[in-house]
Amino acid sequence: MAVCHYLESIEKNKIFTEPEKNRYIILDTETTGLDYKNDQVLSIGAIRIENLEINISDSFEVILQTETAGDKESIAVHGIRTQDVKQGIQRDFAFEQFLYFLQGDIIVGHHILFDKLILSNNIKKIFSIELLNPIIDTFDVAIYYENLVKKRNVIPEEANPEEFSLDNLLNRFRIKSSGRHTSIGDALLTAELFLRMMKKLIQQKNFRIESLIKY
Amino acid sequence: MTSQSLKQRITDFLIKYVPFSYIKEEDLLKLAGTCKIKVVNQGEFIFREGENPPKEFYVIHQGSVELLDEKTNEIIEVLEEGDLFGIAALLAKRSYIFSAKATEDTILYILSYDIFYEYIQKYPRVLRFFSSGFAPGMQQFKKQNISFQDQVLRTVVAHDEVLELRINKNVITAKPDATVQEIAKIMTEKNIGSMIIADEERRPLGIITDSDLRKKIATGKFPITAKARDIMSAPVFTLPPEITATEAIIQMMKRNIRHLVLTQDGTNQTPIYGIVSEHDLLVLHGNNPAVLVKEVQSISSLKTDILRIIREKTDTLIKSYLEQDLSLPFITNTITLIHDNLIEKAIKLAKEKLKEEFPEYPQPPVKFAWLSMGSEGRKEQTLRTDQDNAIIYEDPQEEDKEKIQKYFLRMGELVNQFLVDYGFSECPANIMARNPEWCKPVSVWKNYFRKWIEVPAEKNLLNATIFFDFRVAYGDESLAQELRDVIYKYKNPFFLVFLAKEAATSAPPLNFFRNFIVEKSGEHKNEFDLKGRSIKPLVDAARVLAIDFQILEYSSTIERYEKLKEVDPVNQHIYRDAIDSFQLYLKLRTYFGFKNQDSGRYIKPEELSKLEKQMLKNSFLAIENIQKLLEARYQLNLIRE
Repeated sequence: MAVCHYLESIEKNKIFTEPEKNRYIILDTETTGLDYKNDQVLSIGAIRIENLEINISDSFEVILQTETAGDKESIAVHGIRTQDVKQGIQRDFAFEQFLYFLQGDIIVGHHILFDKLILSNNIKKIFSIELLNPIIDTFDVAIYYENLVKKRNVIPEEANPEEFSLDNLLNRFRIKSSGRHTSIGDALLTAELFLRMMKKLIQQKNFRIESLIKY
Repeated sequence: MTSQSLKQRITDFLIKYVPFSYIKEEDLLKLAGTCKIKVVNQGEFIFREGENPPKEFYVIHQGSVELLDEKTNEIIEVLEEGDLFGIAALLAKRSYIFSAKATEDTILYILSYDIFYEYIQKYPRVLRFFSSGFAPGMQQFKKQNISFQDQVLRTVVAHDEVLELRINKNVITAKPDATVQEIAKIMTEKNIGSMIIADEERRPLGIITDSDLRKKIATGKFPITAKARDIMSAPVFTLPPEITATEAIIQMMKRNIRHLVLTQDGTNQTPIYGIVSEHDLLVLHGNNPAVLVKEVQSISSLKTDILRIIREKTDTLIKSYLEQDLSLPFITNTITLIHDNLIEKAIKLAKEKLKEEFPEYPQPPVKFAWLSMGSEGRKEQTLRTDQDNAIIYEDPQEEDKEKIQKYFLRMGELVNQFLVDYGFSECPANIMARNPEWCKPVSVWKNYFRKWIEVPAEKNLLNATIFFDFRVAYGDESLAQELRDVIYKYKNPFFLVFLAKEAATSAPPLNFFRNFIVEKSGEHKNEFDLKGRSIKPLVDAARVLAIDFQILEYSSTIERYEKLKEVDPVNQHIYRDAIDSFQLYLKLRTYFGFKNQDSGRYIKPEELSKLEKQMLKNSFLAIENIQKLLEARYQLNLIRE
């Protein structure tokens, strides 16, 4: 059911050139490690943006049942312990709910390609489908912003990753970053950052949202 | 779906700010669940004057927003993180009267009005937050260019918006042929004090109250089987739902009724809309300065008992202001406003009487002014203190002299008595307008002032400290200016030096070991004299400097130090500290005065919290500094007894 519903909404979805008409899912995951083929998603935090407004009542947060929360270094980063994931939500049920929530919306996040790939791989093991949503990387948005609004000439491949790290960007846009490193907390901060940049970009004549969208 | 931790995060933010801090966390979580978040760019409008509000209001998460009047281009208020706005229009069911514009890039929380409205009704402190007029956009106190009275009266507008909340729309009615027994039973079950008798179409025919049951049934006048129509009071006084809270209170006071029945068109020919009880209104409005002032102004006859009640309500008001930790100038200005209105009322009533007693003078024969002296003159009254007042009038023609003096003495006598009736006790030193010595024409007053300045003997200095803090509470300001000119013109250098010496050598508050110096004997043994050792030195110093810098028309100690900061900028940090300390002392005095039911002059050091003790001790440095300033300025070290 969930799969059908999801594929249908992917089918129906179309991208508008007016940024305020699109729906976005701001997303962050915590994982057992950085190998998207073999590691596991531990938690998902996601919030929908509609009419360029974040809606708290339209958000999604789950800790998934897993054998282990990863090695010591990963646990130190995400703070989810093995005992937490043992009590997590059953994976098939959790992903089913996630697909219901996600629909065909544009997925947005910082270095979002990794989240999309690992989610896609995890979901594929259960439902034999891949995630097909378009994505926008806030890393790219920040560089785009720098070029369009600040009139610099930054090439994405040559950009200093430190300069465009999430922490640095939150700092620059004066978004108070309490509660970092839970996936829902990071998703909210990323959502605020995304809106800040979008609000400024919209005012630019040459702004094209399509140029930020990847698949 | 909603993430629990996001709701928690919004709640954790909101709970830090008034009025959300008054709401239980579980309720806030529910409100947070409806939250939307929006980013606005600097310069972007959030809403415009005249637009109709959606059922949502705003809280600033980050950034700042200004409310502005686009017609006059005037900024009404600048709001910061945690401030809420856009709700006044919803409460009043009207369009926005101001525009809201982001003054920097801002993140806004948008919250559901419907849920919050439940909490306004559920939590009395939240309701009070809106009714007291301190919510953003509901007050204009930050405007400097309108009089305090106007500012307070304007809050009536804001404050009346909440009457709607107090209307009980589930009115229980009974038919006119119900028996008294049935009615009494329902009233007991529902725990209500009165019952409206209405016809089939819910049009009000009459009302039966507790007291009707007592007076008419319990006395045996009517049997318990009597019908409602036999004992009800009819017709019912009705008003339309659009009346304001202030009007509602005034109508109740005028008619001596405890409930107001509102009908759809205000007559008893349309169905009942709702009912407002005096109790509910007083919970909400009894403590509002605007209502108190309006009440004073609306009373037409000699109802001294009502005016006394108003004076008592002022005490309640002050207590709640202290609890809310409002600024001291705000508190004292409010009291002064109410007192001045009471004085004005007393003078108007006296004038009516004088018309009869002096038929040849239907109006006061010459210009006059009612002067308030001492702390009332400085607008520093918080607790009830004695009357200190005087009358000054224009010099009359030689032949009318006696008659006119008689007229004003009588006025003094009448007003002093009215004020006693309102609850202001007499001055033990008889510094009152009824005293022939203090009810004089301008020329005599000028001579007094000149003499006190020219001959700084002890008694004259004392008079100067009392009378130079005068203020026109009612009447002609130009007469007062003539007196001030005397003070400025007759510059006896010794006068200022003597006055400064008095101020600089008053009793120190701390001993060598940095402990409070307490009274060694007498009724207040082991108590600290807050007035003598802390308040008085600052008041005295401000007065000397105000005379010296010719800024005596700034009548309160705080205003004087504020002005001194401008005219003597070199020492502005000393004046600033003096203001802070003075506010602390007066607040403590008021607080302990209420607590111990006395003048608040003496406090027991052990009654102070650790923090208060520390704050007090730190504040004494301000006294030391101001006294050093006086010593240097007037070279007091050269004077020896």
